Amino acid sequence: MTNKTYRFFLYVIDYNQIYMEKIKKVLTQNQLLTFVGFINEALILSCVFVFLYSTILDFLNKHFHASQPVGFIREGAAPEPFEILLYLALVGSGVFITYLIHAYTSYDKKHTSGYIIGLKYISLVFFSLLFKTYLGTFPMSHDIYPYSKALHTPLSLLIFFAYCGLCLFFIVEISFLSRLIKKHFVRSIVISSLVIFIIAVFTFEPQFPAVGHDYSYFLGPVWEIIHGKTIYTDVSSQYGFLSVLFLSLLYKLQLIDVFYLPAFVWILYIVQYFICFYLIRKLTGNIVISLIGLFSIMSVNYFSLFHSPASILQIGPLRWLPLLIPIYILVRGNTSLISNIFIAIISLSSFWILDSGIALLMSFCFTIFILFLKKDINLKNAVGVYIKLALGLISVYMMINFIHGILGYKLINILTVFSKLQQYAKAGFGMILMYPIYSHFWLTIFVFFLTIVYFFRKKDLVHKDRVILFTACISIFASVYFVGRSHPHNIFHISLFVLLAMFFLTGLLGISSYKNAYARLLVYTMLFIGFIVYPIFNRHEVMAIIIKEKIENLQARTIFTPMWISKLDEKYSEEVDMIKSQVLDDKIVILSADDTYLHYLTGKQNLLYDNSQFTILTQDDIDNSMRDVYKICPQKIVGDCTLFGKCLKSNTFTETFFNIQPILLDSIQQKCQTKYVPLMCTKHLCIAQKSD
Amino acid sequence: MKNILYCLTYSIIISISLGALVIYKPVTYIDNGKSSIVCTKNNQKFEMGPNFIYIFGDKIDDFNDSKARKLCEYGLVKDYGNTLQKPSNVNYTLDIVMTQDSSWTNAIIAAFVLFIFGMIVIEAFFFLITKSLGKVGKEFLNIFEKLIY
Repeated sequence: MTNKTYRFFLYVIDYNQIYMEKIKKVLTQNQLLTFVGFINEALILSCVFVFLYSTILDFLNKHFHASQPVGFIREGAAPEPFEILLYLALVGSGVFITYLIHAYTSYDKKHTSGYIIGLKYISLVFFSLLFKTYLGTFPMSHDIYPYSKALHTPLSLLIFFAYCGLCLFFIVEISFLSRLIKKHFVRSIVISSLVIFIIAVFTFEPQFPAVGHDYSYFLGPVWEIIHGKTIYTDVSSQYGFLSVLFLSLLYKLQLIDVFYLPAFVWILYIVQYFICFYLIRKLTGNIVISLIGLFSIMSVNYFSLFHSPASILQIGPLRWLPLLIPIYILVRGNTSLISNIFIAIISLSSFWILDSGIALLMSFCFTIFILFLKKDINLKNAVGVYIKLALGLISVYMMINFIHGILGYKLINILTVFSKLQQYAKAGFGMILMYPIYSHFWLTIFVFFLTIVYFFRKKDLVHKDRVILFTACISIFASVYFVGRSHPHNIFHISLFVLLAMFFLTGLLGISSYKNAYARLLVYTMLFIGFIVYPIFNRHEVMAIIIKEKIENLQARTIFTPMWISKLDEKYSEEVDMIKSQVLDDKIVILSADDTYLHYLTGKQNLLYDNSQFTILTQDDIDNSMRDVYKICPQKIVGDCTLFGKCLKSNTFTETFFNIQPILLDSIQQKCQTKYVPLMCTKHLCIAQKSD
Repeated sequence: MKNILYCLTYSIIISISLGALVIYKPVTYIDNGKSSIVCTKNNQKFEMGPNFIYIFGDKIDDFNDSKARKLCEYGLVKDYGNTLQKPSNVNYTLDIVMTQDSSWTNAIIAAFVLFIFGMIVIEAFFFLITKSLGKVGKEFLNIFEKLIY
């Protein structure tokens, strides 16, 4: 060995030693060790949660078979008697165990022992690896469903890079702009306007595509209510309660054209994402994290979907805004969680949409319980809040009924409110098994336990801590939707609150206050790659197709007019004239998948008690819905041309996966002891007359 | 007597935990749902599970071999009455997909969870009798505190 080589080796050894010393110094820093301990605790709890959930569920499903519910007239009932209950029980147990850990262990442990420090890092690596296996693969990774063919790879990748580049550009530009403008008020106005503009452009869908099937769940009940029927008592509503009543009021007062509802949903999307940005910014005080948070939420909750998000009404802001607004009020008004005004807001928001309302109520009650465990509020206050909440709910219900009474409507039958929920939750209609059990959904649990551990560790609670706890509870209860209906796509729908809680936590952990600019940059880069680039890369094939379609639709002349208006007009102009001239009754029977839209187009009222007919699931539903039809046995009815053998396919606007109309026609004919024969037909519909 | 009982119960719980380690250890098996047979005649590929052909051991048994041969020869999934002649030569190759169930990390967490549950029960009884935690409980709590703080 030459002298030079020898010296080189000595230099390398020296350099390595210095380097190793530096690493050792960093790794044994007390602050870092505390952080590792914090992550360890959340990881252990999450891993045990997932292990117990999968093992117990497997055991229960193998040993206790759920009885198949009878009475459904179409397939789709797959009862999952254990999933939601087990999930909630484990969440409750996890919180209680975390409480016990922090109530009976000491905070003041020193990290001096070498083997303990080693064990800490080994534990971190072990549980991280284990949790990584529990996360499985990214939901619908590189899956191009429902499209049959992906775009050419270079074009897909170009759109992916362009999207990430745009996100990065806006994050950097707005962050610099925020530094340049010194006056607080001007800065807020400029930044807010810019962010609103960006969200509006990103979420704008030319011609506002809408799926007829999903919109009919809202538009159907609205039509019935403005024609004198009472929600739930007379007409079933799958999702909406106050939301349907609110839309009915707007429509009645001619403040909104229901066919412009997709445009209204676009505005709600802008509001929803802007609130997310506002909340992260206000809680973290960091513009970069809030912008990364905003683009991350849009990337997962909006751009990872396989359809235009606003085209399906119930998955977006109409469902989630009532859960987001209470958080906004907590932050904006610095309102206390146990104040009367906040309890009133919770009571009112709970009635907006039934299932998100239940999630909101459970989140609030659970938050109060955790605050009580933490001794932030005493037993008297906690019980007081629950009583006030119960009174608030009763008051809102009474108020809605009172208004119904004044306006001459029947009162709402409380028992019928939960009938659809009973069919969906208890009988398992529309439920989907969580398969594979290892999925990215478990990030929800990890973020939740991170928050809970953070909360129980914090000695002096401030308002922000309670807000993040409430957000984490909302994320856990909003996720029940996925536990029941575990299609991987639904993870994107519920991701909103999980990401919100995650970014709140990132800010509260003090990452933004790092003095070292490189450390801050490292954190920002990791967040950008982990929460924007990673999800979008996994879904970029479908995103590219949707964005390409969007750009093509931009070339249309009327980009601000919903496309379904012209589609429905074009499809049914002849039929509308035919119905108006041939069926003179005000209340008519339209047996078509497009029943909701045909009622709007013809202005005719519905003789059935369901609108749309998709909500009819059982024989009891049929009998209940058709009670007036059976009494009157109308002379003429309108029906899909396939019902009378006058066409092979009617090409309805609303795509169907099950035709209830033949069963409905059979029921009418059987009960009225008659046969309806076609009198006049078009290529979509027929008018049929009683044959006597 | 107390100490003997204490040691004995811990021995039982450690045995159970080791049992869980064995039960949850990674197992590789033939995934009949994803495996397929390739017919030598025309290179046609048929999925095994959906066509009612299954392999449970190292190699295909006679019954399933017959079904596979008939599928390749006649394109029939089920020969209910066993009326068709089984081709005398093997006319297919197997395209086996192996799937691994569970993992060593999963096995360790299973053993860990069982041990913790057992320990909680033992220590709770020990606490009721002696008004203090046993040696294992104390040491575990000590390490756990250091791991998470």
